[in-house]
Amino acid sequence: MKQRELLRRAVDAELVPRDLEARVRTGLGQGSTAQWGRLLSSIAMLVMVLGGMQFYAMQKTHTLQRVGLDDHLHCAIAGEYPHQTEKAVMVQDLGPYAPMLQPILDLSPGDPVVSAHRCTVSGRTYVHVILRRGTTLVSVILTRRRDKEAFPGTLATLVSHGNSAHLHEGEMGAYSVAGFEAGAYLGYVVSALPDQQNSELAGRVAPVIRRYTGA
Amino acid sequence: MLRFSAVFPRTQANRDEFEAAALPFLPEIYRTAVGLIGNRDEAEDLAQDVFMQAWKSYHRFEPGTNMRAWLHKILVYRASHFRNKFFRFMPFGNKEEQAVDIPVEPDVPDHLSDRQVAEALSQVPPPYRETLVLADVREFSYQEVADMLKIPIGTVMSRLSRGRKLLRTKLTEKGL
Repeated sequence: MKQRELLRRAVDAELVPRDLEARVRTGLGQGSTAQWGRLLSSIAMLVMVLGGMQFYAMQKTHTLQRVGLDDHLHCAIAGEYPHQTEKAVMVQDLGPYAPMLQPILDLSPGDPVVSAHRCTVSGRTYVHVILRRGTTLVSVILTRRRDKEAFPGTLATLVSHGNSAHLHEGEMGAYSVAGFEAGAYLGYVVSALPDQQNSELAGRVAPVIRRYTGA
Repeated sequence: MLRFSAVFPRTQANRDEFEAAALPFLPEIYRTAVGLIGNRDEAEDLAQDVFMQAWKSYHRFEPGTNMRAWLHKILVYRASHFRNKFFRFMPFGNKEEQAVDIPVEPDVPDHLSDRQVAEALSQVPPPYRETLVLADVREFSYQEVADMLKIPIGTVMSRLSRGRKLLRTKLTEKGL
């Protein structure tokens, strides 16, 4: 007999385990299940990571918004602001930030200015312009950024306004806070106005402030 | 036409199609695996592994092409883990890479049992054994074997020639 035939016969004489096909079929089913399991666990992991990032971003945004709100509460609401009647006094109090005053006033012609000054709250220095809309005081605030103070750029906290000013809006208690970055500064518009009106004003003020801060 | 992984759903219908096309080759794949690695337990694992891998890669299989050759290609690839273990200690001379004429097959003792022939095959060094199994037992062409093993066709021919001689020697020893 030829060697090749002998060899073929010997190899094909090997008995196939009876349950091998069943095990292969089971393995194929588990493979699909395992694949779905891996996919689902990957999605779950992604959701957790995104959720965690979102939570962190919201916490950080809240903390930075609090910086602006603190000044608004201390000066405007508690009435600690200097009661100025002369614009010249306001310009003097603002010092190097005085050139920003008129453009801000020009943006809200119906809202008279109540005070414009520099103040310190909890060891932090602010440039603070207070306007009045009806019976509501509106604060336009500027303060220097400290280390790593930056609004997170996530969708849930970021709102773009018509003139592409990136605002980080939120309601804190009875107040609407719209924060934004302006170069080396953080800017805010804080008031008890409805959120939309507050943000609308912030959307107009932010580009002006950025221009003066070189952002 | 290739079916892309991202859009190839692993549905029950697709699995049924795969099983219908691939599972008829399971006995052959198992037996080839035994021939290649000479160990039944490992051959069972290997055969299962081949079908799992084939199912994962089924979107790459072109319908209408040779399922049998495709499965054997996967088998050879997966078996390479075993093969590498053996290859590490296999001395290869330059002669091995030279194409040689394949001599006419001589007769061998036909009173040998299948078990004795299988034993003789398992004693042939793996590189020659796998060439013998793929070319002489499974009758793949030299080109197909070269593609599966990723070696030149001349090397296939030389390994086959050497493998046949080695096997004949083993068979003759057992036939005495």
